[in-house]
Amino acid sequence: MTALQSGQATIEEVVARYPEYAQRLVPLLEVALRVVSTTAPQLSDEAMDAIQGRLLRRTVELQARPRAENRRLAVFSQWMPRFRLLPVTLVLLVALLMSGVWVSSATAASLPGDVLYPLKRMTERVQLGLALSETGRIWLHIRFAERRLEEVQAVLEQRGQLDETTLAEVGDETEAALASAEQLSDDQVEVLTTLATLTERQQAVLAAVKDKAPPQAQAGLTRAMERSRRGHERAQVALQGRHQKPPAPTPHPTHTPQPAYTPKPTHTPKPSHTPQPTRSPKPTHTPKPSHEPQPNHTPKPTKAHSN
Amino acid sequence: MPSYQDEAELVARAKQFDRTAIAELYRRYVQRIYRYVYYWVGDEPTAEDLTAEVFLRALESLTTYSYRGVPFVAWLYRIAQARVADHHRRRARRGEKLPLDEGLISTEENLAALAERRETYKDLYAALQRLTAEQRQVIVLKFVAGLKNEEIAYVLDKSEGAIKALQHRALASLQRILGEDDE
Repeated sequence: MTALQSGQATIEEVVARYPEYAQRLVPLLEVALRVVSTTAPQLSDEAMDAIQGRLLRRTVELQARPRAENRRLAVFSQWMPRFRLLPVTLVLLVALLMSGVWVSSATAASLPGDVLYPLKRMTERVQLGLALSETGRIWLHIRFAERRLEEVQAVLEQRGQLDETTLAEVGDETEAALASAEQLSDDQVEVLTTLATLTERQQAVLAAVKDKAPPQAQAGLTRAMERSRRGHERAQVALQGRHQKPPAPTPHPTHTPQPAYTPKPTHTPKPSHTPQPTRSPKPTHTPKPSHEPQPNHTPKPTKAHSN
Repeated sequence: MPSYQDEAELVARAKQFDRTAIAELYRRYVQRIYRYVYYWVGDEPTAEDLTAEVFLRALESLTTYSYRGVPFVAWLYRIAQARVADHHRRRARRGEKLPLDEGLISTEENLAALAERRETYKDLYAALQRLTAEQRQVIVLKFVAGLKNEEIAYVLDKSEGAIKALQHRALASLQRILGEDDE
């Protein structure tokens, strides 16, 4: 097939290699070749670049994990012995924190396209890199997915337009959380339930945004809603799978220890004769009551004497 | 056709999150994966999304891939196969038709562009529809994706012998079905 597609061989040459199928192969190969050449749509350059962008953004996130962890360890080991620098470090830290309060609030409020927005995203990547556990990282992705959704609303409200990248970020964060959540062994139900709720809310918000969005943003919004819907289903499927799974795997015993010596039971005494119950005595004859005595004759009052 | 050695080197660099290597691998295979996915789902936006999912999944699990006689692209097709199957399961749960029931005309947008193709190849699609799911997979992987039998065996998690047998039966069935339709 490859040779045919590249023009390196003709159908006749291919068929000659499989003479036993010649009669059947010729029409099939002709059909197959036509299928290959005409039903093969090409991914547009724009779509290809968009996917590559998502792929490379995810690469940066994945790359940030080990590097940040390594950097944290390196900084820790480098500064630990230098206690004499502690006062200077503290002063610098306080100064940085004070100036950082303003920058951080301005950064947090920034939107895609703003000067401070790359800083906001970089801060998020660092946070992801510093997460101490996979579950912590997933919760961060969930929080960032919520932020992306808020940004979509804010961008449309403030600028009256939406670009594809801003919309794609909602799905990127959600899918990153989902991909990690599917691999979790602990806390999976809580995370997946949150993701199911999040994706449901995303769909509702995106549908509301779609009503207000300009025509050029409609296709991107449809795609974002579709991704969100698929994310919701993915969370539900994972949750169902989780519920169907047994609570914990049954460990296979590596070796069942055998007792060194099984003592034989000693003679089991037979039960002695069980005495039969003695005959229950029947109740004796209940005597009938004797003739009931009649009341005595009531004496009539004597006649009263008149004076 | 890139050599396996060249590819192995690219994959090794990609595992270290070398962005140039990742972009190179992506550019090298994206059209093939997209075409394969498109063939099964039948509409461009879904095929684009699933293609993106395939490459993101591949990136996230790149550390688990190791070359054991199976080229990188076969591994990608395996991921694509799983994503497509997942997509079909979701559609089936929603009671939607599977792609070959509608052919490649599932959206209004595609209708005009695909009408001619559909007219020309509707017999083939109808014939494919009458094959079993496994036979269809083998035909698509062989004739659309252009994979070798050993690679198809890896993608479908079957032995090479089973793939040959499946392919033989699929071709025989396809020919019989097409023959019936011609009469």
